[in-house]
Amino acid sequence: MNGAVHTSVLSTVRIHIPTRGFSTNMVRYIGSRLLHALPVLFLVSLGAIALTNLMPGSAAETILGEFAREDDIVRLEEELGLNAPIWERYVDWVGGAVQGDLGGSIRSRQPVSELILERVPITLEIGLASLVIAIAVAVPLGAYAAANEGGRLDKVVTSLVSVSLALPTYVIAIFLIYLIAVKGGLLPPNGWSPLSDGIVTNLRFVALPIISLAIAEIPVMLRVLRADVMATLKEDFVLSARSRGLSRNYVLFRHALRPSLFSLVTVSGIVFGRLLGGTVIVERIFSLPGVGSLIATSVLGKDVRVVQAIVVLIALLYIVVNTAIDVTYTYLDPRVRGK
Amino acid sequence: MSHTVDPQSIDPEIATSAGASSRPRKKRRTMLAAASVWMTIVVIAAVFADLLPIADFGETVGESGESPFESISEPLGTDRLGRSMLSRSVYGARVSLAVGLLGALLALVVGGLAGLLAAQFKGPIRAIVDVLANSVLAVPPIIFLLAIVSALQPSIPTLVVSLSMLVLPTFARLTKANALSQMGREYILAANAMGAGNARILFRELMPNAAGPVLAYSLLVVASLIVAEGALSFLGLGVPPPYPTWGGMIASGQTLLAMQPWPVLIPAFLLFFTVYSLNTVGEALQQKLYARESQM
Repeated sequence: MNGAVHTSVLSTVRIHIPTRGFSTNMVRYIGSRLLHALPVLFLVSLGAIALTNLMPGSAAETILGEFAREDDIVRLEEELGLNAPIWERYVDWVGGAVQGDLGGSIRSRQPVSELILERVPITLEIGLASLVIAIAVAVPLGAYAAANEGGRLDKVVTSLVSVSLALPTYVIAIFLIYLIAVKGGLLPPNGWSPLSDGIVTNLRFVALPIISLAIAEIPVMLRVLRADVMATLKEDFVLSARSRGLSRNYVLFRHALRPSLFSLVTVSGIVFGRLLGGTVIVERIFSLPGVGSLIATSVLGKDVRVVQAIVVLIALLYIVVNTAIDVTYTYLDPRVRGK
Repeated sequence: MSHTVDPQSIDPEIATSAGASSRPRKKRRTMLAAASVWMTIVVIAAVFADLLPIADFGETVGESGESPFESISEPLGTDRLGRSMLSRSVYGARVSLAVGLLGALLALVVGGLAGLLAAQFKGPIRAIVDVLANSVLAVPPIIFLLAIVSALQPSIPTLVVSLSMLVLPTFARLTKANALSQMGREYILAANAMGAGNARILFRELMPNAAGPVLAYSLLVVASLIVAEGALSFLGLGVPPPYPTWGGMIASGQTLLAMQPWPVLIPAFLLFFTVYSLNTVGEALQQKLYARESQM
């Protein structure tokens, strides 16, 4: 029922890649997953386009503020097609979106697709780097803690996990800025320098954001992994490997770790969602010009076109990633496919 | 075999710490006591804020950025506008708790109802509940909140509604899963055999038995909503100033962090203590509940 029980069953079954009957079953499974994702994507995008309908009173007036001129309001209504019914606006938007045209920003007059694309690399950099660091810390730490259950390291790890689970990303970032940038004077508290201006300056600016994001992700991974490794270590094959004289660490990392990594795949969807949300906060705190800070400023400026586009794109990405995770999971464990 | 469904299998982000059991019992009990005391203080402060002998949250009571623990009248110091940090912290607790509790309550009622209906009625109702839940969960929480807040004017009611929408699907799924696991049990069969109608089975039989784990999970939800409200306030999208919020206090003090760290550190610590306490109490409640279930 919880992670521990579930993998103890899994680990007795050797993970093997089936050779026969694979292609048709797998294709059918992927197909059905995608079929399930379609209505969700439809609803999310419809919801994003309907955001202007949610605005109280006239949407154009809400966007421009109460002191807007009458002709500006009329012009914006025209531009956003606010007088057309929702389904017409939806079809228009989707029609443009599939051709890469997401409309123009109300504030900066730039095409939305351009605005987003020039900011993707920054978000990608801090997102990927924090993920790599989080995995590099969580995997060995979780395995060691599980192998020495109740030991000193395990106690430290479990209390750190429950502490960091109670730390919102913005609090982590503030503490880091205070300790490392303000008190320590080691790194700049905020700002940005592009990679083209040299990797060292770039790293000085992105180091704290990356660490903040990583600290937010580590406890989620660590907790699942620790529970799973603990369950795996109680398996017979671990005992038999130990009795053959293999060292504790060898058994831990070469035998027990792999079947336990399995559950990391299942939480990776959640980790990915946390990461996407975390970039919004972190980019704001550290004034990084990424996609996260773009959506935050666009929401503040009621730049609906940009908000709609980012929401739909992120949802699309999120659905694709989660479907991919489901498929990977099924691929790794043939028994899930039967259900 | 317990018949309740572990919330973590529905939403692994939920803080049911797997390590809690390995912590020594005595230490755990002290933590739980400390957490309960802290929550009591916060709740009392938030409820009786108007009666406490503290300054008004908008009033200038001293110099800009007085350090805490130096004067008796202002034990937490002042912010950069010389306003009382104690008063602002207390009124900030009011926003955090109100939004967190009301949001969780709304989600519990609506999501619980949807989950029960989805468990009892197969076919279109279950399909609709599932698709709606999946659609909300298809957008990362903060992005979802930002989208809603971009359309609505920030105020306590709109915050409560948008925050509750965030956790509604999880409540629906959790209730559905729990109700489904109860469905096969003898007492439901007996009720059916006696000719009980849908409404009776839903509200008199299923609901009381599926409610336990969902209720225990609610405290953890309150904690996560307080974090989300803090994030929105931090981004300038929460309850508008001058009304104080913990997230807003962190954001507005951030520019002066080097000179006046306390106006930022105090709300940051308050948020941490509160969320940690809620998690600790919530986890203890859950463990107690599961222990009782598995003894049956």
